[in-house]
Amino acid sequence: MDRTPLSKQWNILLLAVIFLTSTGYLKAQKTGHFTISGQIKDQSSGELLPGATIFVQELGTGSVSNSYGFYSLTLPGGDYHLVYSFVGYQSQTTAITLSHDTLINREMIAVSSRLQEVEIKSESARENIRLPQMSVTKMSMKNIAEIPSFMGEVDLVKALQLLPGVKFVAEGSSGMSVRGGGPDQNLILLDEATVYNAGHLMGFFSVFNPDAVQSVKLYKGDMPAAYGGRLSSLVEVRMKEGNNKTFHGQGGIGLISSRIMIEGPILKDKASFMVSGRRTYADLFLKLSHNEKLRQNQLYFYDLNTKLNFSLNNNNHFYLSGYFGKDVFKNDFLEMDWGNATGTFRWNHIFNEKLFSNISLISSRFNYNLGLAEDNPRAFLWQSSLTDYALKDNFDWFINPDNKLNFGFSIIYHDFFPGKVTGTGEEAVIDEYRLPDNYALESALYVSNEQKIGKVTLKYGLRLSIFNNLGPATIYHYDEQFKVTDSTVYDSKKIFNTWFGVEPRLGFVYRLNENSSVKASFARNYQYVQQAQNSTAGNPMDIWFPANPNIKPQVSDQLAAGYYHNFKEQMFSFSTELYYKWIHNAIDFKDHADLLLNKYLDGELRAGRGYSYGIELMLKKTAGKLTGWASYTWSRSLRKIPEINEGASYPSPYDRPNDFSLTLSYRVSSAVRLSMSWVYLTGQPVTFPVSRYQYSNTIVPVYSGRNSYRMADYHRLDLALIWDLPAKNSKKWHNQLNFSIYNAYNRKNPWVINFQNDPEVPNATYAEMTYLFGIVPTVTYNFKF
Amino acid sequence: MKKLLQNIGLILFAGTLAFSCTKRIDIPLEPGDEKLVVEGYLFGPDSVSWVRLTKTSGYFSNNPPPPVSNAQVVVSHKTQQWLLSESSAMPGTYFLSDSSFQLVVSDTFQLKIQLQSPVGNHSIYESQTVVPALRIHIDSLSIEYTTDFKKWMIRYFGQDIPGSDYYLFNSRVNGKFVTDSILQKVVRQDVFFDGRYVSGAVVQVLNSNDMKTGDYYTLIASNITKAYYDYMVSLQDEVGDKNPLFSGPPANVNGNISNDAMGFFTSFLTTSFSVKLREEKTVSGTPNR
Repeated sequence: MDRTPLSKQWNILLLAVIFLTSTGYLKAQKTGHFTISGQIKDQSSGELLPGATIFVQELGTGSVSNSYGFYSLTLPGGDYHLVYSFVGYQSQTTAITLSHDTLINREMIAVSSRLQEVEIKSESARENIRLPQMSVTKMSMKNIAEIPSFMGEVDLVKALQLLPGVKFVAEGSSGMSVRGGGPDQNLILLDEATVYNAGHLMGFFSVFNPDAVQSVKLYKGDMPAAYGGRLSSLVEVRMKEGNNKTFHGQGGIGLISSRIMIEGPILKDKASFMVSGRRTYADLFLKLSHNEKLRQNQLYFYDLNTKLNFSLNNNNHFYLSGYFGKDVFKNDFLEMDWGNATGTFRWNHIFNEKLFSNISLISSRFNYNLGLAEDNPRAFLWQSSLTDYALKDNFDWFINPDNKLNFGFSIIYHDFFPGKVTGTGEEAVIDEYRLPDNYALESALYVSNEQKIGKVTLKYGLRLSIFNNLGPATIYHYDEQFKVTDSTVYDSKKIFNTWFGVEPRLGFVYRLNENSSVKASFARNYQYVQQAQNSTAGNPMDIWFPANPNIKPQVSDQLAAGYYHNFKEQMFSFSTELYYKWIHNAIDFKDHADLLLNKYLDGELRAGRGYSYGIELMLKKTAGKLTGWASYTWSRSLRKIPEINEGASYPSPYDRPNDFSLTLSYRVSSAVRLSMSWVYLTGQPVTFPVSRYQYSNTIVPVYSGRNSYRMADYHRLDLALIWDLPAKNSKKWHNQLNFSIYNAYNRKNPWVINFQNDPEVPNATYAEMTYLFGIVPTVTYNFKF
Repeated sequence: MKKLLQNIGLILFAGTLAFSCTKRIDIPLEPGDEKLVVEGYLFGPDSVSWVRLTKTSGYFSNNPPPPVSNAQVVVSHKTQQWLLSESSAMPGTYFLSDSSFQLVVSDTFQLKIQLQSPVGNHSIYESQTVVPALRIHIDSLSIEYTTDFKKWMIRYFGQDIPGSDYYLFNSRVNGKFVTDSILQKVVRQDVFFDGRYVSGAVVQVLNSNDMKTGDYYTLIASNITKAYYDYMVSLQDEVGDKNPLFSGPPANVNGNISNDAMGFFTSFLTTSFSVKLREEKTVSGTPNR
């Protein structure tokens, strides 16, 4: 691991590329074989359909379209029937006589299109059985829109939290823990750009505006070789491309926000746009408070999503997408704002009928500003940001029906600006205090092949990651007691430290029969950038910081095995997965760590081991009047770090052994649907006092071992009724009302438990639970045209 | 920084707190091991130094801390030793009233405690403290009553001396000490204003009923060691309210007493600045050294 010579690492990867490509290429040279290729699109919108299936009836083989709807299938010459299918769309069968390379672009017709459904396409019916990729979940946005929402806000992340192995990190939070990992171990990509803070309003809502989103896919650790940089998961969110045939719009007016999305052609069938906006007015509710100070607060967020796409010809397609979101908090005393801005330019290029490439140029930025109100003579401004610029080049090579090669590289330039405080008022106490900036290059070269051998499909790949710390930088040196002993200043743009990672990604699927399979996988992931978050739910001021000479990259090894079974004509699917995950160099923070504006942040870190394991079960019903899923996870997540908890292992904050959720949607009539979700989790692990003492006339707790107690178990029922209002004059305009009830039986789930001194009784103490959100009913009006 | 974060966090989260409710709950807690607790201070000539010995007790015991009496408590400096005597009115509190005792800046003073019977499996506990030089200079105060927070805000003005400093601030009103609990005390490091003229750093926040126009207010300032500063910041962490957004995991606050005892033994010199509170926003007075 790590600091082996660079040339050796590159050689390993080069050999792998040569081996994989040569074996595939040799097979591809068979004479008398021809290739069918093309793109699969939605007929009504022109949007590309990733994951659509092309099945050759005569041969019992087929292919799946890639992330950009491109497919390729090389077959011996002859007569074939090709079946194009995609869940939610009418299957299409085409008879062809294959005697030369053939281009077939296919437009699929949706079975039905309903109001308010975010246009995300479901997985093909047997994909879960057939593909070697495991621990991956695609969520149908049709279902997400039907899940009862919190305060009327349809939220992708909260829907993901209902899946096995995924837990929320605190009541109402859009932060999530995947298989026991921390929220910063999830790589969240929006059109390939990293979203460093996916929460609005202190994390109670996610940044993803459902109107602007096309698809979401969650990988729980077993990421494709093209992705890396996080230990626990990949959340891949794609924005809508924009309808290139006709103008459409949709939006809604909710309890706390309103939103609108418009899409349409710029050049019919050639170019389109999508623009979407959302703005909350949650602070209006603060006006209802009895507290005068609260009434004066402003607290809101807004999002803006845009996307343009342009097809130059069949072989060249361009996309330009952007996201900009901000939270604003203001009162007479304090002003703060924080938000993400991302931009992605992509060029899809089809080299030939077998080779597809995508080049992406990406920028991503998260920043916050905080200070006293400008008219305050002691005003100060505190700023922090993290900016990324990235170049990615990804290739899909459809060598033959049995081999599909994916390879490419990525380079990310990180600019960490951890913080600066500047006195701006005439009487400011602070002049200027600035933490040293950090710069880094995170690069990766990867190759992966998917190979079918009879009933077995193998997936084997390798990702080589390299992390360079760049100057200018000041690195402090620490002794064994984590005290600063010295520092080194590095020159501008000089690479002063390098970490390497060799990340194998292996897996196989064995098809027991048409409807059942077993799978296993092994994945190693390196994480070079992490968040200084010491609380369970986090806040926008938690900065990201890189690995450096003091901080080794965190490494996870995940071994997983599973059984998958579809039955009742694919109406039901059942899956179970076992996993064990080891984390090396797992980072936690020392007791009472000071993580803000601290030049000596490295000295606050403690590294050790983490491990988590569990079993996940899921039963899903995808068709009929009643749809939904039930999931159950039993898992543990533990850490062992020498300087914490006296070196004994302790439960991580996300260790909640039993996790059950039931999510159902029932179609009462063509216009009315009822839905519910019920969640149950073992109580959050917490540290409680076991005794006390008095110091400076104050009662001070003496604590148990870390996280050795638990809060009461968590459970909650949410309900929703979705009513498609009858159309009156215009068939184009659809109206919908969505009634939701959050926490329907008013469960008082503890958010935090504090121990207090009784003001009435000297020396008396008591425990006090704080809980959020009793029953929260909301109604949202949605429209679509 | 952590204090600043807590304050900002509280303000930022005010909106959510508006939707939150609290409820007293019963939690069965396992009893912890009994430990000795030492609270010891060595002061300059203006105050009597003392050491208090108590024991930990069950968290819901709801009784005053059990004192540890009849211990032999000795403070030493180089070749000198002073035996502290237990107060009959305040069992467990040992005073150093010997007039020969005086602090020497930058020197180390030792504490040795010999218990009559073991507490926490030990009978002998030791500690030591280095006396920091008094480097704070106050040339005026500003006292404002903020209607926003309904608090008195006390700010100080003065030239900061270059070099890392850690300060402790306390208050007296009409001669009465009003900052005797951990959360009322203020500790600061000078990282943001090192070597600069400090024009109004907030160093005390008092409740509206702590003070009124016409009262005599005294700011008591001390230089403290980094270790004691860290200890106080951590204590303030632990005795304040916590929430999942801004609070780290609870943890014991380790002091500087041997054999795993709780508490801290420290020393500091103090300076004070007294004013009479008038209607004007800014008041001035004379420093008392």
